Amino acid sequence: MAKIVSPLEIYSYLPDDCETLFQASKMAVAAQLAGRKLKIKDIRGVYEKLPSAFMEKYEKLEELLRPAIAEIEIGTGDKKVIIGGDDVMFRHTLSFYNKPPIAADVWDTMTDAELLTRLEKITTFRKFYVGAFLYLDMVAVRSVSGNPETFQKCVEKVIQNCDMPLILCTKNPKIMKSGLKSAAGKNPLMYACDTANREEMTKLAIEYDAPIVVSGSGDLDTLKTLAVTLQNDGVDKIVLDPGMPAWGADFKKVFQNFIKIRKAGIDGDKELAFPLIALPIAARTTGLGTGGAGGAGETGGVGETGGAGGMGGAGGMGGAGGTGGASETGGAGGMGGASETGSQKEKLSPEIIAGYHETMAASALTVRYADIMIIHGLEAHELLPLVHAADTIYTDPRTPSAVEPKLYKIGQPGPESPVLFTTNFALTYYTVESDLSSAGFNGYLLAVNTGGLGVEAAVAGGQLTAEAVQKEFEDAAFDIKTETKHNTLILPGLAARLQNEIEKKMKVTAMVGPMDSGRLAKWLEENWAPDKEKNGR
Amino acid sequence: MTRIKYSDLEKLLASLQADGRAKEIQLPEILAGAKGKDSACLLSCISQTAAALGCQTDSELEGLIREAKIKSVSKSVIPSRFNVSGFEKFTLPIQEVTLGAGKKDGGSRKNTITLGGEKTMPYFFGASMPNKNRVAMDVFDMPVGLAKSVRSNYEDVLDDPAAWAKKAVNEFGADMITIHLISTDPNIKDTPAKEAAKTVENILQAVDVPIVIGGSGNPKKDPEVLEKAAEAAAGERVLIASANLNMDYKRIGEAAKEHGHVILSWTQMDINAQKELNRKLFRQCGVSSDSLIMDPTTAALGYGLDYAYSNMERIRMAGLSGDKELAFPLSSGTTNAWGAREAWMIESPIQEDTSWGDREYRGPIWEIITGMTLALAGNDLFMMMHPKAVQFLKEITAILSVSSDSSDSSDSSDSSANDNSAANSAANTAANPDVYDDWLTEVY
Repeated sequence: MAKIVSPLEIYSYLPDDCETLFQASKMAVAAQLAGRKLKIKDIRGVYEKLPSAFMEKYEKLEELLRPAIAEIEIGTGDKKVIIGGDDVMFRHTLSFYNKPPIAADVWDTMTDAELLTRLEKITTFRKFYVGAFLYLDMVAVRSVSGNPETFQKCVEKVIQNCDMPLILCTKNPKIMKSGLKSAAGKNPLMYACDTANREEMTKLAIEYDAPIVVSGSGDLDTLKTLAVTLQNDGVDKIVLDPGMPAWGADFKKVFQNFIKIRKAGIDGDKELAFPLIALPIAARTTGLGTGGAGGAGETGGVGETGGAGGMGGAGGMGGAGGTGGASETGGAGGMGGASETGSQKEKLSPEIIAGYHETMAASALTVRYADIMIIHGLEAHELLPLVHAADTIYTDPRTPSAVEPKLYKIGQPGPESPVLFTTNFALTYYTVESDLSSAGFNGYLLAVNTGGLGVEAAVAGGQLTAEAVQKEFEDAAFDIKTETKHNTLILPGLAARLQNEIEKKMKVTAMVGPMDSGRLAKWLEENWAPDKEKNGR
Repeated sequence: MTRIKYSDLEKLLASLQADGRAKEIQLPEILAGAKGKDSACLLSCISQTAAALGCQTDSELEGLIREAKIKSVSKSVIPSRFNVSGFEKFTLPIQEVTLGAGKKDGGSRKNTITLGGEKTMPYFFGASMPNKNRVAMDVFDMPVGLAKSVRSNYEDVLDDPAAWAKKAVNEFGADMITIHLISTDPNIKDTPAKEAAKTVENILQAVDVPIVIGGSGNPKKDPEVLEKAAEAAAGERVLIASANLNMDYKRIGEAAKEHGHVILSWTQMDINAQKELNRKLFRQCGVSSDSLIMDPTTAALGYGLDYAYSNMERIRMAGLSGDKELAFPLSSGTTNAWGAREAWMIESPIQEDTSWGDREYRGPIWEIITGMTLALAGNDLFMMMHPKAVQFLKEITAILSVSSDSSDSSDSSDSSANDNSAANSAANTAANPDVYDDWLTEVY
């Protein structure tokens, strides 16, 4: 179920004199390569300078280290993305590599103004997280007009206004060709080759040397047939589309298709060892033209459709509706009643439901093997969970996410400045740190060693105690009494229960800060310095 | 390094042969010399080919190859069949655990709920999911601080736990109720254990679904509170939440056993601690194997969910792979998602962020995605708060766990939708390959 190369296997292909060549021991270099901290490409230069016999070793090593799932590049330059490259089915057995880029769509029937506004939204979205920002990565251009010229112009405009890699979306080879012309030299991803357009699309992929998606419209034999045929024709930059219909019971099949294809690839089926594309955008089409049919999940949906409730939401839930719980749990029935009695006032609008379905589909497939995805919804409640879900699954589980436990200076603190503490869980620390520095604050922030737990968990689990805080200040050789004029320590709101003990043990004034550090700036404005308060009295 | 491969040269040769030019430039001999050799050999073959064809540069040769490839694109496909093997290493089914007891078993619950029984990872192919995911909605024994969008659903019942429980079951579709006896914490109200037991009785009167009894989280007080509560709920087969290594878990485990309840074994994102606590509850307290559920701790999306996810996935995989001390149903305090500022804050405190949008919609989806991610790691029971989050989580887990094979699910929906043309067309979507293309031209 996994392709994991051990450092020992790598060892014999390395030159003996690693100390001089890499400034590291042979075993360390082997371990770095195995853990992909060091890329095989990056050491090619070293081998090239060695006697020619080493090139053979290099090639064998390259083969040994080639990921089970092919890596495909899309786009060019700084914003280029690499997708695929995974070796395992479960992230904890190694790590997942190449966080799936998120492409947001635009289409060729938009007015110039609409297009520019949307591109602006796509390219400027950002979310601060653990010392960096999360972004969207790509733009998918859909041909809605059905006109090659219109598509060509649209792709041109997109390229003029945005430097993200592109996905060209049409199953019409003529339209695809016009898009490829506009995007010449930009290495866009072609969506898609299917049974009907295979010959023409294959020719385009060769002519423009562009990566291409093959789509089996939900059928795995068709998908494999197409993948095999394209490879036989000399195309090797392939992305597989397991197929995604509108939101509903079929999502189960989609989900399992992702698992099946990825497992086949990791198990050694070279013809399917390619990245997978997810199309959460298709999940939004729920209920199109069928009124509220998509609503099995939505509050009102079940109750509203009344008699239709049985299949109810059929459009949306299909088979799952029956099994899903309505009758068995009695829950859905209850909900229906609720909407009549009016106690569940606001129902979600179809837009919100579509966005939730898209976000759920995108996040679920991020967990299970999507390597790239196309989305539509640009509302913050759609994008924020999604960029975090991708980050969650693709964070390297081997990297400890703790900062060094010590006293950090924020800005330029002096004896009047406040002293705070938090835990050394990287996320907690960076959150507090960025909240404070973005508010232009000067002060001391102690990161207490909780073994990388957050405040709430560490208080509950006994890692964040008055003793631990006291010891950390001692280790930092920072005596609040002498270093400050106020002899005051500010506690995280979530550690309020430590207040008495800290005052007793450390002989300082312990003030309880806000529950969330996002409110620290305002809290400090109102509560600091403690002297102000005294003077006021 | 050249990007030209041996197979490219073969294609070029084939194309030249078709034009009758191969012989005159001796390409077959050149190629035969390179077959199956290393890259140095391929390079020399490439340069000989280029010379034979009069190409000045690599890219000229690449151009010829490209033309040859385009010319030789197959007229028909090479039919292939998809094949994949199952997950053989999953040999031990997860223990089934039933919550709630009806009249004949000495309780008063209308129906019982069974969790567990999985034979593979969640919603994977090869084995069906025997028991559905379930949701227990939180009720507190005193008014508590809640995010605005959660609070607005419970405004009328905040100081009446029984009414709160009723509302969650009757209006929001809760499968179970969790009564959190937080007022018993000496730092909060120090409500006596006896009085808390009264609250439990009231909840059992108010609703007929199985319940979870939670303490305040105070390790000194919880054993006493949960003992009294277990006694008050004797025979109802509730879930006692929870036993933890940092407290006198023995008293709690024994109380659960004595009164016929199920124990929630709670650890903090540590698979080894989970094993240890489970073992202690079995060996020291005599808890039977059909009476334990694990809570390995839930962290919110963006706040350590990566750990919670992988820890849970490891626990479930260990269980399925034969570790008898870890093959139990899993529970998640999904409500923890509301600890994430993204769930409740009006706007980002970080200047550089783009707007966080409407928190009314952001909060529920934060709880949904936190829960759903853990469902994919193996979680069975979800303790949740927001009614809309509950609905969407139930929807996705119902879709994913539907027991029929995916290929026949469209058939079953066909028959039920026959009398409604709109729904019928939607239900038929699986049969028609065009539905896979809808999004290209039409997005809602």
